Amino acid sequence: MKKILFYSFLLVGFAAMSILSSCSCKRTFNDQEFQGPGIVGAPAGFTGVTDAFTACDMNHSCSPLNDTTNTSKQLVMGQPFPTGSNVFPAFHATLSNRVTWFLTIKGNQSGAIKTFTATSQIIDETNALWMGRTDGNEFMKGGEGVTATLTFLNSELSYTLGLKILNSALLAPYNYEKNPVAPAIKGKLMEDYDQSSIGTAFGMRTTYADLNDGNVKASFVMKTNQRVQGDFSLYMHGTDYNGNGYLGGFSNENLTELGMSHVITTHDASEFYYNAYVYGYGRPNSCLMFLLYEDDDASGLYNPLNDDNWQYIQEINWIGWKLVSIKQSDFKAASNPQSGGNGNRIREPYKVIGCAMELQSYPTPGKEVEASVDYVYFSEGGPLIK
Amino acid sequence: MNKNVFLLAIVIWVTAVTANAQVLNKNTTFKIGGLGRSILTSDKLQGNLVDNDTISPAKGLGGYTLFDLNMDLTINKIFNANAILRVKNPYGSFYGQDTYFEFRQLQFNGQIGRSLKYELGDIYIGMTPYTVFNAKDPSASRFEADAFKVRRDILEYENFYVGNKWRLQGVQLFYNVDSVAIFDRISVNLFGVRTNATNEQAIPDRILAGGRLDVTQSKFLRFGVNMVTFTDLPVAKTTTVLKNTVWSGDLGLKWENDALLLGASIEGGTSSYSFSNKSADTSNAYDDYFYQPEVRVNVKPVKLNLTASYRNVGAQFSSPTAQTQRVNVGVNPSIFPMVNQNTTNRGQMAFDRITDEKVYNRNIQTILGAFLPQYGNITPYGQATPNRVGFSATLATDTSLHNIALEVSVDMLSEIKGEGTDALRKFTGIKAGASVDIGGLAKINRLITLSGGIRTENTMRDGAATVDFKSTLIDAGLAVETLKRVDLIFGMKTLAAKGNEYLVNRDQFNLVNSFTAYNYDGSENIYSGGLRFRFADYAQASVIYNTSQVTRNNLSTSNYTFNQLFMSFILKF
Repeated sequence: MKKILFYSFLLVGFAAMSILSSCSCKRTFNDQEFQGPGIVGAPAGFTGVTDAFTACDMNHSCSPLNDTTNTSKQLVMGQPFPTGSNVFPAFHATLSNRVTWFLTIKGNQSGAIKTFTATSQIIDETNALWMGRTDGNEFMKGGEGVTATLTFLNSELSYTLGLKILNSALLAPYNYEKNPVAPAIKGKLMEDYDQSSIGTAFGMRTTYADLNDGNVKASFVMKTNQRVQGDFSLYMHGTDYNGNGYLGGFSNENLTELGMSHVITTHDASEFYYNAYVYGYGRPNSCLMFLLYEDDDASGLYNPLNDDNWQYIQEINWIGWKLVSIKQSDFKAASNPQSGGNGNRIREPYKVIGCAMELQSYPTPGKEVEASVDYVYFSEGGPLIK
Repeated sequence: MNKNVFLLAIVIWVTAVTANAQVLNKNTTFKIGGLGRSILTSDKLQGNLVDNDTISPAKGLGGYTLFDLNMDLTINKIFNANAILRVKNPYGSFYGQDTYFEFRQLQFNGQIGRSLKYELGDIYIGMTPYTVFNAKDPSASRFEADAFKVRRDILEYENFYVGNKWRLQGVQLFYNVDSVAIFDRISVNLFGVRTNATNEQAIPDRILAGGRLDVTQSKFLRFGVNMVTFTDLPVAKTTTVLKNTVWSGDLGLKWENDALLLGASIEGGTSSYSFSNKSADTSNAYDDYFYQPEVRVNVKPVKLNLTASYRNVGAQFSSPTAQTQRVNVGVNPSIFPMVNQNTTNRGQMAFDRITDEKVYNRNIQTILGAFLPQYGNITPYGQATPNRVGFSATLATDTSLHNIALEVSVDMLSEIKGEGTDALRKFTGIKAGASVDIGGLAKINRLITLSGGIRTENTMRDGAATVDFKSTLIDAGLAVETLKRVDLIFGMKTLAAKGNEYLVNRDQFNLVNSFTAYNYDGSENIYSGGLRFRFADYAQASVIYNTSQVTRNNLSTSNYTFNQLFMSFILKF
């Protein structure tokens, strides 16, 4: 009896395995020839470009763009959306064979890189239209020359082309390429630390250090060798000698940039983002507090006795540049009545009138801390995605 | 409050109340264990990578002292609480200013009734190589030198790697019953963990749940059924939702006499994946399957095991809990992370993979991670690496042989579906290694161990986008007990690789969406030597000097040598 049960069970086991196997015999993409886009190496006899490797102005009937030595036809990149007469270059070449090619555009000063790759015989606006975005964090610089290099898989041939960015670097966030007239995400640059020196009334140029830290207060200086966009970033460094966690910051309580154009229209705090590129130096306890000031009493000015001050603490636990994007719905109201928190306690992005960032020693006070900030940007509809 | 968190809180509360009602009986015990470790490293980077660099740090001194206090309270068999409290103090902090305290582990466990065991909190989960499996780094060798093992032990401890299990947070149940009808034993293991927490706004809770039914009919027959599923629990503004389910069944047969053991087994299963992104108005779903039959012969008189298997793992077989890599190649190393005037990431070298605990993953990744072909190109995601078909065979000494361990294995695999072309990559891998306990063989009461291993990999693809990539990894190690409990230890690891490959980039659906051409011609040589003092079974100290030379033949400005003096004191009790 036991044997019968044993063999019965064995059969059931195999039957179960068979059922499982038959159920699983399904490969959704089995009919596809291969995975991903096609790649083709240069065959024997490949002679590269058969006409000329050129770039043309895509927005103006593809008229030719000259190189860096001719300023009459230069690449104008990244006017702040939605206005501005942009020139977007489309690269052109006809190849002797269908092959996988790589187009690398590199900023001669910034080192920023944009790459295109495809497998085709024709290179044109359908596969090599550059609208100014770059692959990494680094932005191209206004006024710099860029070098476009065309290479091919399994070939030593290469072609180069020089262009110049006439104006500022790319400023538009995500989706701008798809719909430059009415982008899904809109916003405005608040500060890039490139317009003038610290101390002016524009942007976030007002810096201040904790007076209670004694004679050696934190420093806030422009720095060129840690920039993500333009020429400078704001470098912050200091030690929290008095152990209160606070080292100072930079702000503008009444941002001219907001007052002039009323860029924030949404009433939904989860749609409004405070974005900034932050450089971390790997120093523990380095932290930035992001602050947003609202004009609740409609006085046209931020007044901590009547208005709300919203705060968000961001620990800087990375090395290098990182885009930090925080939506207002994640901010907490200031708890100290002396520094805001006296408004209606409702997050109202359309009432935001100013902003700040403070360098802190957090979570452990009393430490030496360090960070850099560049390209502070308010966006509506989504975070800044370069 | 999230529904799941609330339920978990109720379970913990009920358990705690039950335990409280029965405290301090004669079965109550309180045990203390722990681990203390002190590490000091002196590091130096030199070579043409940093020759003209005036900004990036190239010298440094670092280290820390830490103590993990393991407190284990058993009220009775129903309730046991285990907590590990960590105190860590980096060197260089002033009067303990950087000292921090954290709970490294918190777990409740116990037994309810005769057969049901439970675990709550930090739990370890593991099933089969295709369902839940924490596969080892492909560049790690079983025959690695003791000089490297000291470092690997630390990073495995720090990353909670115990065997091939993942350490996650949730609840786990075990149910075992013996002698049921014709079965010797029936075991059920169920678990539920949360791998990602919601922000209550847009990010959903991500729940991983699964289990295994394991039935041992007799010493001749065993079978099991496994299931593991990822599910997102959407909240108000969730835009992305993932669902991934893997089912598998396994069957094992075994027969043996005094001279021979014959075994046959098979595991087969299916995966079902779906992902939707509302904000981009896009979604995708796909299914795939795998199977792996295996035969095993153990010739007992000669103490040898021969295993031969065939595998077919579909290109879209998706099993994140079995395919997540230990090493995350995207993470920059902790020591000297930046070069080129502090503007460029240094990137990982082989020595970082042995010593830097920060480059290792602790979480499950739902998109196949990037990998570097020189460190392992055949099965970078472990046995469950998708898009592989072919044969593998291993000949190894069995565990009854104490003083000598030998192993030779061969992989003859190919892709099932081409990547970017209909031509298929063909992979050939050979591994061999040996470890000899000379002290044991000579019957002298001294530790003298010699070990060595070699791994060669060859990847080829014909057609319009050819691939030709070869790598050779050699390990050698020697440990000699010169004075009583004082060992001289030496280790060497060399990696040489050359050729071209294409690195795969994947989209949000874990599908191939582009390739990056990868040309590599270089080598890495690591030499380590030092002293190890084994004060007692529970305490040891070591002083090891390491030098790691990184050479790029096709990128000569990237060559460098990393020198490190490593001192450690480790206490376990």
